Amino acid sequence: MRRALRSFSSWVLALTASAVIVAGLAVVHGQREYTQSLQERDRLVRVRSLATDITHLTLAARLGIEPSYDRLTHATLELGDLLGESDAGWLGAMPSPRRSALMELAKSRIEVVERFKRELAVVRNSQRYLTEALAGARLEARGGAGSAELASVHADVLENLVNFDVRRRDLILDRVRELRAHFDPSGRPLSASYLTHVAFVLEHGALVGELVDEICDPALALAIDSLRTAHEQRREAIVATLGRWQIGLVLVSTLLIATLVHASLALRRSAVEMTRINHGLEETVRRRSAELAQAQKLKSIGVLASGIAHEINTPSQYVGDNLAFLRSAVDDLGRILKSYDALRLAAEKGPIPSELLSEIRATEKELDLEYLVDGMPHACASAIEGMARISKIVRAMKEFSHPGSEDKKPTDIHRAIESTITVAQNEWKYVADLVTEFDEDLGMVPCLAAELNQVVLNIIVNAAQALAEMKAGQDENPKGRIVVRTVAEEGWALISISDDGPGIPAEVQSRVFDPFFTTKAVGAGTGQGLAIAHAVVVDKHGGTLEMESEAGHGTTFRIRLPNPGTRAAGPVPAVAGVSDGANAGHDR
Amino acid sequence: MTRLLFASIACAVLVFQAIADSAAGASSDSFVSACAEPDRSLAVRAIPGRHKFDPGLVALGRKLFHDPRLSRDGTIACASCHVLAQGGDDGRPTSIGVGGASGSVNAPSVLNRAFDFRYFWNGRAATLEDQVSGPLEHPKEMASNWEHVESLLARDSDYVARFESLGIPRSPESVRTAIATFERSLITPDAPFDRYLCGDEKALPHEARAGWERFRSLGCVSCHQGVNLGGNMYERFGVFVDPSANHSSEPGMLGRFDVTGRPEDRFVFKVPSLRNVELTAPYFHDGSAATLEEAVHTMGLYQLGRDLAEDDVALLVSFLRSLTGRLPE
Repeated sequence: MRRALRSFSSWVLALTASAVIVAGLAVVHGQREYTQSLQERDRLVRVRSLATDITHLTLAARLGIEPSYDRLTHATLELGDLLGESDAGWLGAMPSPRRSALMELAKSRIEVVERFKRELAVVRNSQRYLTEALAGARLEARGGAGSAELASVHADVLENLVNFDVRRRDLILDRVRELRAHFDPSGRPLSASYLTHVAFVLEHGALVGELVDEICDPALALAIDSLRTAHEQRREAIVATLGRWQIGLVLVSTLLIATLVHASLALRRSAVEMTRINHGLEETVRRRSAELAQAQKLKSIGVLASGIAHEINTPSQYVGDNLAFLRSAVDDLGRILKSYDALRLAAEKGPIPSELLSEIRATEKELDLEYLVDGMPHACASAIEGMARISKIVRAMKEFSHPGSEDKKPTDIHRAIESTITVAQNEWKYVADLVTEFDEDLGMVPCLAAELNQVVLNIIVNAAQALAEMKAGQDENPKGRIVVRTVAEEGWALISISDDGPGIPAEVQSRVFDPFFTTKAVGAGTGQGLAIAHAVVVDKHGGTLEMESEAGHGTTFRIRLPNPGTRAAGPVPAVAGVSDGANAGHDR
Repeated sequence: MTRLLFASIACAVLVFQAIADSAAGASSDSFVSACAEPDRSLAVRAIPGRHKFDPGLVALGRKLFHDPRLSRDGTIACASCHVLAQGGDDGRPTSIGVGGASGSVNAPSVLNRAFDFRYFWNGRAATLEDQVSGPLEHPKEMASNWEHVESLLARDSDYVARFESLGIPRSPESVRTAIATFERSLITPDAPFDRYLCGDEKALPHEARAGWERFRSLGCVSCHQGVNLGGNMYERFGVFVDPSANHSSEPGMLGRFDVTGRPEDRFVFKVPSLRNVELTAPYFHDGSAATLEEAVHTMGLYQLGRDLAEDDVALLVSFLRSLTGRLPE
């Protein structure tokens, strides 16, 4: 269930992250579109203002307010740049028919402007010519030469041509026809160039008017405005979409952050949970270890019990035998003493009857008095010695199994070791000779006696078992040898226990102190002995426990306990100093 | 965990803020008006005297402009037909191209082209950049192509170094830009007429001033107007006279008609600028007028419908001679 939940939440995380990326990309795209759209708007605004400028400048040119075409030309060039000849790629986002319609309009508008420029120029020139003729005609009309009426018609025609209005074209044509029917006021025929310019203005003046009308046609402006409206709508759509994506981005980002926060909280929660479980496990391990230590102790006592029973049984048998002897001897002595009592009574009465004496002799002979007198002290001594042996074992047991205390107390290490050796006697005495080499300088050492005893016992029993195993494999073998040695070192008390057994294979040496590690058959060993030894020496006493072993050459365990009572606790002396005399020189 | 959170948010912010913004590089080219207060009632303007261009680009353009290796056979440079010291053209009715080939239209001047609205007699090029390919690829002119030019640029270590120092690729685009920029820099300020326009009454001799009056009253200024006295509009050549009698009607000689195909565009040409006009004989699109007097007279007939008197022609010509500016170095 929890795993399912976890995979679900990682899916949520992945989905949210993807959503954030998608929304982010969409926002980037939208913003880019928006920026582009703003540029397009600016261009459309420019195009619109150019269209207006062109109209205004055309009218200004037509009215003669702005005689130079430069500004008009630049406006058409810019419009051409933006719309006319370029592919107007910047309008790419707009619907194609509308775009091409606008481009078509702009292009034709530019052509019309060019046409207007050139037609206006020549019409204006003809008007200039006619203006001069008008001035002459007015002069002649005022001078009264020829028909004044005709002169005024003439002036009227010219005036209308100079200020040409296409709506009065027919009127002007009638007047011109009227003029042509006559001679000119001064009597000269109308000159060919005069008529040419009149005809030119009539024709091209009308054209200029049409071109101006075309340029002022609002179609281009309307097309631009309609495109602008469409563009505005599109930008609004872009903004709306962008807004939606932005909200989406904020939402999915929030969701992502929430998911991350949730995941981090879950992580923290599970870390707390793990710590709690870990504490529980540690507690369990501690309790189990204590239980195991107790179990190990009980087991060793159990193992030892039969040996100890045997040890007690032997002396108690001969104590019993001796006591039985003494009891019969005391009975016999009682009989003899009764005889002696009868003899003393007879002697007090008179002479001692000989039959009484012979009877006493017979009794003494029968009871072998001499044997009794000789044997009784011996039996007593023997019984006492047996009792001593029993009491020694009992005392050792008592000492060994003393419940001990929580605090370290100054302990006679030697006596403690002796007791342990005694208790374990039955374990080693058939397989090994046990030698103790105690350093008399070692006084009382502060320690937890009961637990230290357990350590020494475990090591001795291990050594004995190793020797027994070795002995079982061979037919004839002298007993092995176990040496228990103490050395008073500077600030330390060293207890070394060596055997000349088979040693420990190199590959398992590093694991001998591991809990539950055992080379014995399943069920035969708990794998706790040396682990407990290590815990007791190192953890509880602050000492060191070393093991040195070589296959075929025996094993040595060295227990070092801090012994501040004697001298200040110095550094742990080099192992070599003890195990290898050759390196001792380096210690100096 | 908190740190990771911050990092991821920061990353997201960075990514989403990284919006590409392509800012169009603003052109550094600019002109400064010649007169403090130009007279807007006049159809003409004084030429701006001061201008600013990228000097590296101008120098490269100058070198390209004068390099005959751009042509197919290595004989014709831009400068062969546009001699800067001779008013920006070659003084021939039509120019001589690669292999002695004769062109069909008169070579226009390259001076003051920055103020023209379109290029070629028929206005088919919208910009000087567009114009460059015309003579370069024309079989009767330089008869070259862009592959030829690009390979030349790659072979010439000086070009390689110049393009590299300018940070532009050795592309046709760059060549066009360089030549066009050089051409834009070819401005001839300080003509007597310009000084007159800016208020120096004495700059114009009496005849020239009278010619300027004629120029306006006759209507020349209707078309030869603006900064360049021309170059900002099209006009039909022969408004009152059919030009086909004296001028070729061959395709390529019909002006706008060759571009648009519209009947009303027959013989419609870009109005040429009159600046430095005394240096750019012969005149018209076909170089048919050898002298200024001839050209002015023809213009009177063709465009104004007037047979100009010799006095008027003389006055107009003396005005036209006042349009010669200070030639570029």
